[in-house]
Amino acid sequence: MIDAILNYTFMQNALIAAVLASIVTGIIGTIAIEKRLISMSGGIAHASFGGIGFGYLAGFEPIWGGLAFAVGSSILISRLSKNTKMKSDTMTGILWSFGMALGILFISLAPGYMPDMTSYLFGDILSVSTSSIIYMLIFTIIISFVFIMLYHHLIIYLFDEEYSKARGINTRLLEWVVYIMIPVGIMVLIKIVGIILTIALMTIPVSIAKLYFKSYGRVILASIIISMVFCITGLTLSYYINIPSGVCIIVISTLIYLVLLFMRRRLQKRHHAQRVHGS
Amino acid sequence: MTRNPIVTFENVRFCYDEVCAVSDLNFTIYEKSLTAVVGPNGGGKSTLLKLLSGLIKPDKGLINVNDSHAIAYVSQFVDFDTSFPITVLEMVLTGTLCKKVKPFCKYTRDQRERALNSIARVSLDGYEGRGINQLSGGELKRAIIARALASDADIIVLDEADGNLDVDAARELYGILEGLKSDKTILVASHHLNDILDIADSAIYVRRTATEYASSMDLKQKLGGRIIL
Repeated sequence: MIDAILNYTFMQNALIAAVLASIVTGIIGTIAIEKRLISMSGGIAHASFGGIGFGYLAGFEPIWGGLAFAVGSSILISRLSKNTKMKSDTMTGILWSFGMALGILFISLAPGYMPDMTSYLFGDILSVSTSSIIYMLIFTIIISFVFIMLYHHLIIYLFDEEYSKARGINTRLLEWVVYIMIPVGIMVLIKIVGIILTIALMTIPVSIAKLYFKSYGRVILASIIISMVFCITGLTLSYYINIPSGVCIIVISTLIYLVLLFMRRRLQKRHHAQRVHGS
Repeated sequence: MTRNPIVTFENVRFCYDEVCAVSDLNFTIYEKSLTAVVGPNGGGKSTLLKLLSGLIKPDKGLINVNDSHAIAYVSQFVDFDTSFPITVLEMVLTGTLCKKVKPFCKYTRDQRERALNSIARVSLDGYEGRGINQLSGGELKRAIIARALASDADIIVLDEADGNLDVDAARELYGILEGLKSDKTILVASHHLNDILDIADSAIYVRRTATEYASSMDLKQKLGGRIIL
């Protein structure tokens, strides 16, 4: 494995992609979980498939089409749920299916053989090209910079929006920031775990971190490290047994999360029993 | 001792669509005092406090808050997710955060001291590093009050801060509020009449309109143990 990393560009790209995706997971995952935007994130990821398909049809890099559709969907969900009586869940559901349908329609209309879309749907860390690394790096830098720049204001907005409003903080601006950061982050994750499995990578490392840490900053750092462990494990398995990286990462992370959750519950029960006996 | 008026309501009315929650509200709140806001359920206590905090605007009348006095509002319900990964200190610090969203806004040493001081004033010393999900209902209410104290607000408005608290936790809270009135103006809506009227300086009885009592004891005597809830 180490030899492969040293000798092959695709393995070096895979490792860099794993690190970048982990940073994005820590930042975007915590935002989406705490703002209860996981379902919307799933909708955005699936809606981006329409843009990816359009990229194939129009002959430009599909990921840019995906980004445009993802950002557009995010803004549409946000505005419609604020300005109309439509619930964001309803709009998410519509865009979720519409994006997938459009993607398949555009790919079907593209001349020649239908391309293999497995890497977009389930992720393929071993096929990340150098050009993909460049856009992933740019997106990760933008997300990290904006997040660090507005860290304290984002925390107060995510934690208690009503209080932020009452204090006169510009929550509308922060809402725009969040609704643009999430789709940009999703585009980084799609290369690793694919459209279908993106939500799992956004939620599982953060959920594990929340079991052990009580401070927002620590949860983010722990999520990044946990996500890195999962992604590199997924990369290793994908390299040796030749199955999609996204599948490996999500199966491993889900099993580990369930085991940790079970252990945590048992520990809490034991502590509770000890307290009862002690008193 | 001369008391300085800090808030005045003049003929204030507020209606939710067709139904007027409160009308003809006329009263004055004085600086560095504790005012009990009492009355039956649905009488308009919460509406009055939201009007004062600027969360809703009156349909008619004037609310005068003396210049340079900021108001902190503590809601009747805990309206944030208590599983959010934030410590007591981090939460209280958010009360000191600059209102303008600007890049790389950091907490200064002064802001940290204000936050720690506020935590101490609500008797939560030693809880700074605890996650808010590790607090009891009463401790959480005190942490929320500490956040209001840490802010630059001179007027603190608490809408049934003692709701869902057991008797001991509620009494502890009243003790803290009583200690705060030396340098803050406090308004508290509560259903625990005896306890709140004992510590309040003045009282407002709200039942669609407001009746002002210069001394909370006047209202206590008038009610004479009657249940108004």
